[in-house]
Amino acid sequence: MEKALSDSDLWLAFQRGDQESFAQIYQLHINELISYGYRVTNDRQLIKDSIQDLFLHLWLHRENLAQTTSIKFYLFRALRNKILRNSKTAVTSIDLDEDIFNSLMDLPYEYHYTNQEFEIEQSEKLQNAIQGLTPRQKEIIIFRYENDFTLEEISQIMRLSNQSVRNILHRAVRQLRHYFEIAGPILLLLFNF
Amino acid sequence: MHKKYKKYSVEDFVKDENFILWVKYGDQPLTELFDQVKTNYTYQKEAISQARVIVTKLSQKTEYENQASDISEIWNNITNEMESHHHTQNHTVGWRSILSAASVILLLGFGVWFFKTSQPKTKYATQTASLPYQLQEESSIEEVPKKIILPDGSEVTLDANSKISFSPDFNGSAREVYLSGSAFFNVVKNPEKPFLVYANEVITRVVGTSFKISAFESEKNVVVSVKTGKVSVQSNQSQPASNPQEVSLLPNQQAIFSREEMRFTKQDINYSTVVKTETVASISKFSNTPIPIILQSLENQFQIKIIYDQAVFSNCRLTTSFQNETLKEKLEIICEAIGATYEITKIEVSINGNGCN
Repeated sequence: MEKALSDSDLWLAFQRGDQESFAQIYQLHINELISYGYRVTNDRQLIKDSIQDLFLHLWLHRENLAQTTSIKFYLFRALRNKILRNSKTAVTSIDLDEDIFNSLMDLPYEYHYTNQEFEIEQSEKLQNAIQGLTPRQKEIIIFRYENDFTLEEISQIMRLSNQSVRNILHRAVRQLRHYFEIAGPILLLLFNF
Repeated sequence: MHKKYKKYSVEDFVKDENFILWVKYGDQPLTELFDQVKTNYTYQKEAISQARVIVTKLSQKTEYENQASDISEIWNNITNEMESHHHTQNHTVGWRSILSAASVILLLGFGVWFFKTSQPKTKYATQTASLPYQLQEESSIEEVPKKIILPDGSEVTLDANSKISFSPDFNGSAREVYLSGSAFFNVVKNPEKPFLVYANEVITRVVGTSFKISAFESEKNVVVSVKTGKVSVQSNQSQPASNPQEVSLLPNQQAIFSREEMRFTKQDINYSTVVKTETVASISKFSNTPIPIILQSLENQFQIKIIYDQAVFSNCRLTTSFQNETLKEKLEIICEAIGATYEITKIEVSINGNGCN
């Protein structure tokens, strides 16, 4: 079995101008980046443009980029900045303001439903619960649970203090938990193991 | 180590690093850890169940409509932009390798067809567009090989992500076929009408024989492998008369045309072993893909029949990346993930297990 390159090796190869490595970086992470992007805003063109800008920027400035041990972390942080910046260009400010995320995240939280009706019902309920979260809470949930980022990484990506991330996550989880108190006993019967 | 879980609330579990990893990836040591927690603190079972459902749901990935074609579209734009920068900056960049890297993405199965068709000046597209007569096109855009019977009775087995065009009646002086991708040909003998396959820069000429051509537009080489009969291959590029690029092939011989160097290398092969076990040197990434689809792709890649109970495994899904693993290694990864066992016999693979919930 061919051993996968470590992130730092892959990144170095890309920085040296190896296009295969660059393409590999794209394919390894594009699905995560795009679903993150589509989740935080309805404006798909904004996301597509931002991803395109990001990768083109990486390629053109590859020699001057910092080294990284987590490409995924690097890409998410950079993409989030690009989205903020691109959504602002119309307003001419490149001030990193979180408004875009606050205004755009009130969109349906889409889920992949499984076949079982129960699962669907349950997803819908949790989906409603997630709907009730603030944009920031949702974003942290996406980073933490879908993308496995550590709290430290999330705080860097979102430019928040570690403690803020902790607090926001805590409130989000507590709120989601209430959904179980309403949906209650049926769930437990089915999910006991 | 499990002591701290004694007083954990549902929220605590949901936020716990180990707990998340266990729910998402089910590693053995963590499974043992939480089994212990459940045994020692039976009252925590309920909290664990709730937390588990929440973490599972929160971890679920979403795939959006058109996500695959968006991914190809973005990559296309990136490479186009890179190319225009390349021209203005005059860097030395090997563009074929970018395209070949793009083929890796193609082979991943997302947006395959979109990507190909959205490339404006592909060889195949140019070749087929410039013909005076109407062509019939057949393609296998899914991951399933497709058998096509040509007007003269010759058979073409198109591999995944490949297409051919041909005149619907083969009226001309030759039987001409245009190929993009990879296909096996079993050609009906007709000395009056030679059979020609145009694939990238390579023209393959036969009378009646069986052979395989692999000519993806994004790959570095065009490979023609002969199973039976005699085949002649040549380049469609202009070339010095002193060094004609024409190569004759007999059974168990292969011509590899390097598209960079524009020349052929001929080599002896054992057709049945080389061609059938030929793996695609690329990464295939499956994300939350139903097991039957993954098995189907293995069937295609290794040209082997895999026997399993569709009903049992249709609920199993797997997220993994395959690179250059052997069939056995891939089967091990899959079976490990779905708690199944496999057996390889000479002609087929059988997989047994209890399925997934």
